[in-house]
Amino acid sequence: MITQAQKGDRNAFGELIRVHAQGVQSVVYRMCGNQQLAEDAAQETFIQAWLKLPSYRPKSSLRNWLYRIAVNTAIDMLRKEKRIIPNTIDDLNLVDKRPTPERSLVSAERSEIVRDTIIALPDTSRAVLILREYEDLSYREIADTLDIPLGTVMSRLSYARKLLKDKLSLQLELHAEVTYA
Amino acid sequence: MPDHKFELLNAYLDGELNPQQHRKTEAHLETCEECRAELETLETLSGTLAEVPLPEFSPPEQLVANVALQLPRKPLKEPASRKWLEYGWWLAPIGLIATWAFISIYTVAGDLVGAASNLGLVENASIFAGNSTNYSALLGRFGLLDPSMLEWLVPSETFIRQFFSQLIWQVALAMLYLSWIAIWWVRQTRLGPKQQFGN
Repeated sequence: MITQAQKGDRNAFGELIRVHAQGVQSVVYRMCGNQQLAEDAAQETFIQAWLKLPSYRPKSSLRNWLYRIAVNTAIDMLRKEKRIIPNTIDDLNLVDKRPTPERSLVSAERSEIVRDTIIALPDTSRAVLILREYEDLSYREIADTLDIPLGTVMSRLSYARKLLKDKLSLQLELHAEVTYA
Repeated sequence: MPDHKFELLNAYLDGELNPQQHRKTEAHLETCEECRAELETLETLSGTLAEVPLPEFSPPEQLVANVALQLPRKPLKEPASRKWLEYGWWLAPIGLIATWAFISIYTVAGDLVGAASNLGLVENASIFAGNSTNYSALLGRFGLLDPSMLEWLVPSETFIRQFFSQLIWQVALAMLYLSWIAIWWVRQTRLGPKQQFGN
């Protein structure tokens, strides 16, 4: 399918999009924190992938190759948008599985705090964190995807978690105080 | 008080330690309360991150349709410069080996011609003869060195100069070739496209 797409077969490329859409959308959303921007970034990722497909070497994982384009595209789009204000709770389209609206709101607010804290991380650390925490890539896969040494993956991940831990503990404590006061 | 292993806890949590490191960290965790607390914090953090849901995106069919509308007719061809770079890359070791072969043949041929010249089989061996000054002979000509010393000093100098010039050539070529192999190996082990992260 990849070879066919490389030769210019649009149907084969469409099939590749179907296979990888969810992963790419997830990566760009985690990177941007905004649904509309993520939809645009996902489209742009696949357009870029089509343009760069001739230079893709099948020895590497297509998923990881796409993730790399997705990460770069999301960072570019965020820069263009000058880091737009992360979306409101309404934008999340959360599926309400909670028994009461109050609990759902608290959970959505917590999610928003976490999401905004992730967005506030430096681009390079955020990318590593997202690929590890949400896409479950191994350190080796992250290193290959982002074309960085393994040691850098470890240090960036450790840095990102430390920053998150410090910022989140404070933010969530404040949130809990306000909510349950 | 045991040494803390905070720097290993991330890799431990992610299952990225080798078996030996894993065992050591596990043993350490049994005795170190601070590290256990740190690990617990990291686990809680992972759980908190996992709580953030994904929104409902447009279905893949919609994405396929939107992308299809914006695609150029065909993917871009691989840039010519990249192809030339690739050719150049593979020509580099061939060039190095060719240079090494040329110098070796030239040296052997020079020795053979020199020997033939000494035997009187060849009249004009100047093409292979070095024209560099022999400093021992020069000093001898000015009377600064004994003729007895010159007997062994002149051939020694010739030998040492030939030996070192050969050595430098061979080592330089070997270093270039090894560098090429090292870069090739790095290229092979690092997968993925070549564009820069964060471009």
